[in-house]
Amino acid sequence: MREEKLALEHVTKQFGQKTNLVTALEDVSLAFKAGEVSLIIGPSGSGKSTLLTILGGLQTPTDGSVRLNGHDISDLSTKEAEKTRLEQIGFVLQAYNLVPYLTVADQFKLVDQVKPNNNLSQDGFDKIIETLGIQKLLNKYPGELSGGQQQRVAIARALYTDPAIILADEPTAALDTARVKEVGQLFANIAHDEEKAVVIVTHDDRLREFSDNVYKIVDGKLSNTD
Amino acid sequence: MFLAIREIKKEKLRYGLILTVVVLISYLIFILSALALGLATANTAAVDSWQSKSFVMTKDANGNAGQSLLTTKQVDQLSDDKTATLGITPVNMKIGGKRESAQFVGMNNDEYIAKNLQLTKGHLPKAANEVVLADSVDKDIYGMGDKISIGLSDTKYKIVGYAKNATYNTAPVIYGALAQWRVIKGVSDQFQGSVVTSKTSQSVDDKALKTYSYQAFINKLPGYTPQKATFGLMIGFLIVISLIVITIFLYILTVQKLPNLAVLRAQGIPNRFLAQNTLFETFFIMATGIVVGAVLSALTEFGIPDSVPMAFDWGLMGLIAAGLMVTGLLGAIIPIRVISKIDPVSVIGG
Ligand SMILES: Nc1ncnc2c1ncn2[C@@H]1O[C@H](COP(=O)(O)OP(=O)(O)O)[C@@H](O)[C@H]1O
Ligand SMILES: [Mg+2]
Repeated sequence: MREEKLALEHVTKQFGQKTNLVTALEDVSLAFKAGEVSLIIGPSGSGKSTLLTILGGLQTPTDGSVRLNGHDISDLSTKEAEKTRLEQIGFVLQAYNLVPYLTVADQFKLVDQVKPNNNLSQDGFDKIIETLGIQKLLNKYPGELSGGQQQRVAIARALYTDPAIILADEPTAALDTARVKEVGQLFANIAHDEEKAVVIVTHDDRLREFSDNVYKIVDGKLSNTD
Repeated sequence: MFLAIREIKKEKLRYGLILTVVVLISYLIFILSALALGLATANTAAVDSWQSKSFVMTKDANGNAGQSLLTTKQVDQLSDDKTATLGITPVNMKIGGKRESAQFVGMNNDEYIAKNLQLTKGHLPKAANEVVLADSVDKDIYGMGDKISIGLSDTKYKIVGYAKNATYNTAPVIYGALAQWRVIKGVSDQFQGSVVTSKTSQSVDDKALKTYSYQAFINKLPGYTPQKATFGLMIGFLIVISLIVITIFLYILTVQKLPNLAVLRAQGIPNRFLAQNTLFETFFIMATGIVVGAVLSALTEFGIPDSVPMAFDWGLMGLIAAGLMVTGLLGAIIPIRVISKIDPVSVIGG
């Protein structure tokens, strides 16, 4: 049995009130395990980003609960949620992952500034930048990198804190098919080799082949996997 | 600090611009305050050198020594061993074809003002036709031993010395014998002088007279108070403008970085870290700008002609620098609030 890392139980998220009420998520229950890539696929506006931000403790559900390592995190204070994100979760977002005025190497040093301990060892870091093929990019600024290179650096940045969980929102939106396969394979390797729970929300079908679990979301509701 | 240093290094143009603005503003403020201080000193230097606590004049003169006429009786009543009688009047001094505004100050050699007068050269006026001029006059024109005409007097006065800090209401002072004041001003011999100064506070019973403290006397110097107010207002406005400019700059810089800052917040980088960073950035810009502005001001002082009164006072400059620094850090408040209110969710989605 694989260890459950993160789970949603009957999560509902609503925005606005009365006539403006939007139900972005409706009674969603999901569990994510270490060592697996879970893909949540759905069209635009289906609630994917809302789901991801709730998983990452950036928003709290209107109803239901979020479990991290068996503990309910639905009601953490802002500070506690911040600490949890810094230590347990690696985010890979569609854009703005990298600080434009820091070199690739400095993106990691920034992490050391706020979280000096329990980051990747030099060996671990070397291995990851080699796997991601970004060793030669360390002295470059994000503006000097291609979209694919930026996304690979972003993934390395997310892994640098050695988080148990990787949350990715549309990580392939800016990439061509060859790059999608590369990135997909990378996520699969991270999950399988490093025992991370990888959750990807996307509308990109091309990532299916690298996933262990695929869920479909439409209008805030999970539909049966196919 | 980590982010600030790297950001400034990477975005040289952007920070160069804001730095330029801060340099120009602090330069302007320093120069204005030096001019204000220079002008103030040119107004008060002589009065300061007299080291007097009180000044008695006729009430009608409204604090303007040049308008005050004290009778012999009044002077006798006011005088004791701690007082000095001065006859002050604005005059023209003439030598060759040249004519220049000055202030004649007649004094008694046996009273404390004459005794305390600091000469850079020569001696106090001994004879009625001897005068001591402000050290600041052009010595090529007003040379030692030269003879000048003063005011309405027919006498030619001989320059026998120069006095330090001898400007009064921005004009050079001519120190001479008190008896000459009446002749130069052209008033009848019932009048003895215009001001009785004292080393101590002095009160008067005579309803026609009024006592002015040192500060009140200075403030009544013609034009002095409005000049001070004008400069004060300009400097105040400049500080307010610098506050607005810095706030706008920092705000724009912050807003431009907002998506990145939001991602950093999503990644769990603490708000405090980002706020400290903005504060440090502001501190760096202000400190650099102020130092460069101060250096430019010092260079300007060397280059500016002596006819423009400019005075640098390190204490005052330090105070202004501190004021600018506080202003700059205040300018960081709004951007820091913007940062603290960032919702990381706002950048995730699309
Ligand atoms: N902060 C919010 N306020 C109001 N409505 C929101 C907010 N966030 C998301 N929504 C709505 O919730 C729905 C799901 O949005 P989102 O999770 O961003 O979908 P996806 O990422 O699948 O495109 C949309 O209808 C969106 O308009
Ligand atoms: Mg989305």
